Amino acid sequence: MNSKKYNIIVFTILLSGLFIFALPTIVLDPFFHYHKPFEWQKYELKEERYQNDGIVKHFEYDAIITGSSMTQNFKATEMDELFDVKSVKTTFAGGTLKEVDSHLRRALEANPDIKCIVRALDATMLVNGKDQVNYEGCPEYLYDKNIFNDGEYVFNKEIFYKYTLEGIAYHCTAEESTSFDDYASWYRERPADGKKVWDNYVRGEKSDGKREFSELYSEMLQENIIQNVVTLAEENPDTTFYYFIPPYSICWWDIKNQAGETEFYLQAEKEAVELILQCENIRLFSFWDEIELICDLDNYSDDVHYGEHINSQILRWMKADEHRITKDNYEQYYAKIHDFYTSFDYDNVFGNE
Amino acid sequence: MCLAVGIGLNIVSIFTFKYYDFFAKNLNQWTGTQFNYLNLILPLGISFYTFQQISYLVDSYRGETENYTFLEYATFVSFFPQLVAGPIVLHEEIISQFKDITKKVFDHESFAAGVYVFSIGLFKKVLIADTLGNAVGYAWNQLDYLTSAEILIVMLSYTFQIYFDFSGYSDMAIGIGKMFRIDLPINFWSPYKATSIIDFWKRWHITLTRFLRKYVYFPLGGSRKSVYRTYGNILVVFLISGIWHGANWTFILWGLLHGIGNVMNRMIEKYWNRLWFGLRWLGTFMFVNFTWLLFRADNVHQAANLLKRVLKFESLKVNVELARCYMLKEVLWLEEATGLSEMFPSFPQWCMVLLLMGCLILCVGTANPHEKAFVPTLRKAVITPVLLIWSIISFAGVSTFLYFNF
Repeated sequence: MNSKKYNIIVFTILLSGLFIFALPTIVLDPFFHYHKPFEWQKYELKEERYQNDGIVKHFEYDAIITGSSMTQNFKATEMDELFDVKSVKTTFAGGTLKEVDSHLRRALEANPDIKCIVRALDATMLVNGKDQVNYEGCPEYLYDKNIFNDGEYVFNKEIFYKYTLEGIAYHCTAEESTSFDDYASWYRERPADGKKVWDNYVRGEKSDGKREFSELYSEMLQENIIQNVVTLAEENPDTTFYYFIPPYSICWWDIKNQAGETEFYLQAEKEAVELILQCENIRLFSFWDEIELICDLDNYSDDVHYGEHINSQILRWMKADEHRITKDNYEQYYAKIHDFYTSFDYDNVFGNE
Repeated sequence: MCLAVGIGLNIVSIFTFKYYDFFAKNLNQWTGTQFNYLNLILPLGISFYTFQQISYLVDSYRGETENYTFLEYATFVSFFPQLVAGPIVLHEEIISQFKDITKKVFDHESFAAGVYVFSIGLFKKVLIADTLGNAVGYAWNQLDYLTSAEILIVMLSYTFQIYFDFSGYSDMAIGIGKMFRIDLPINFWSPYKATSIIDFWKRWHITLTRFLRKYVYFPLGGSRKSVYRTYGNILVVFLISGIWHGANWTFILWGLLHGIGNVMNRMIEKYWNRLWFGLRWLGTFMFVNFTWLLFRADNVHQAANLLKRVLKFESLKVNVELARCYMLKEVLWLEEATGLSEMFPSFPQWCMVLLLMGCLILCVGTANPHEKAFVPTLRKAVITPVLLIWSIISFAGVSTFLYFNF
């Protein structure tokens, strides 16, 4: 065999082999990077950071539910019914404000007609660096329009096996696609269970000092909130943003109390609220004053994660405009929660644990 | 004077980027000084292009260089296929090829050979070295819990990993060079076939040995003076080799041990060569294997501790999780799909043994791809693209984002 023939054979096999390998992933597109699912296609939603971007770029919807694990148990059907919208749920377990903001920016760029967005603003995420993300290795090649880095998607044996081939198997065996009620939800595996929360709760040592909400933290929070919460709302005046601060359980408050951080988190919330209230199109809700809910551990599966019935309740409250924080009531609201969480008799409840 | 300034500038540059923090740390520790660390990011390939620049300066001083243009010189120093991981090339073997007008025409023969060598290099790096690296990395994250057998296996795995990784890069460089009709020097000549330490260094990172011989060993007097001076020169060369590999006492000790091994080999060469071939091979392989432990260790204490635990032979148990690291993803999926491990509980361990045996056979039982001139055949025309496709689709994976807050 001469070298010319050899080269022709090598490159014919190489190029056709790569093309044949990539074709099923490009056509079936398990991460919806190129197109929305075919009408006939039954698809499985199971990988937030790989599929969310494709969902917001190619699905038909006019509302989004997003945020951290506090939003994973929301049911899109309930949202649709209450708010008269067609929603998608694209949540990010452990997602920071920066990660969720970047996602929403791409969503609004792809679909400027989004009517409303429901999003959680976790207290633990407020005082972060403005560019902080909790996970490395996110598939950035799915988040941009650069086709030259798509090789990581289409020439990737792991995606081919776990998503393209298993996607075909799912299509052949499942009755329907994963719904946005079920996508990313965890309430079946980790149902609310007060006894379990109580049994698993290990009280930390009482800290001698208190964590001060210094100027540095204040600046950090301001940069974080302005860049990752406020700016997007200002840039999209026709969209209504339903933002809420999730109600963590009294166990979480005890952890903070033991660590000397109660005032820190209360002050962080206050400063975040003051910044967010400047935007007319953000409807801000906080449930830290829902004392009964927070003190009833039967609503929780651990110190912060509440059961799906609380997600349903949050949607109803938001629709009814209850627990909404406004410029007029936030001072009163803050005084109430400050008074409660700083004077609560934690030792009486947790002291013997 | 100009030569000294030129070499000095190169050494200052590499010292600042690569060695300053190491020296500062040791000085601070020993003398109580308070030097701050620079924490600089190491420029890619600095160890390689620094040596090439020094070689050029010395040859230029000796009057051994032609009147190259700046572009020719810059192309020689930054020739991309070998810039990052060698081979270390000399100006006379590269620039003359750049200037050769007949090489500026596409040549099917050279291109075919290049693609073939490149595909082998890529496969060695992506499929073999990275799989072994996965297992070594896993083991290194739980060193305190490894059994004697596991340490021995991990040591052997690293021995193969570093060879397939480094020689894979060299093969890729040589392959790309060939595609452009530029012949780069061979860097690895089946080093694990060596039957003595001297023989090993004629086969391992050949272009580094060549550089050190020409620019350090010979100027020091080589073997022209007394025997003891020769031994001293050898030790100096290996010490420099150790430092060149990295800024850590582990590398320095590794270099020194190889220097001592080399000197001892020379001392007993007459008797050594009378030994049975298999014994010489085993002795050499074991020495290289144990010294690689130093190369991989974070510090000398860690290496010594591991060695001590190997020699104790406390337990021969091999954790199934470690064994699973040796399984290619394809094998893992096959195992998941068929439940092979349920039928054969020791399936992962067998996979591990098979991979390590395969590596050994590839290293000592097969011909080096550079031994014979490339002859295109249908078999190679099929194997080449298969290796390339397999490697390409193995580049990327899927990240797992474990959420720990539950």
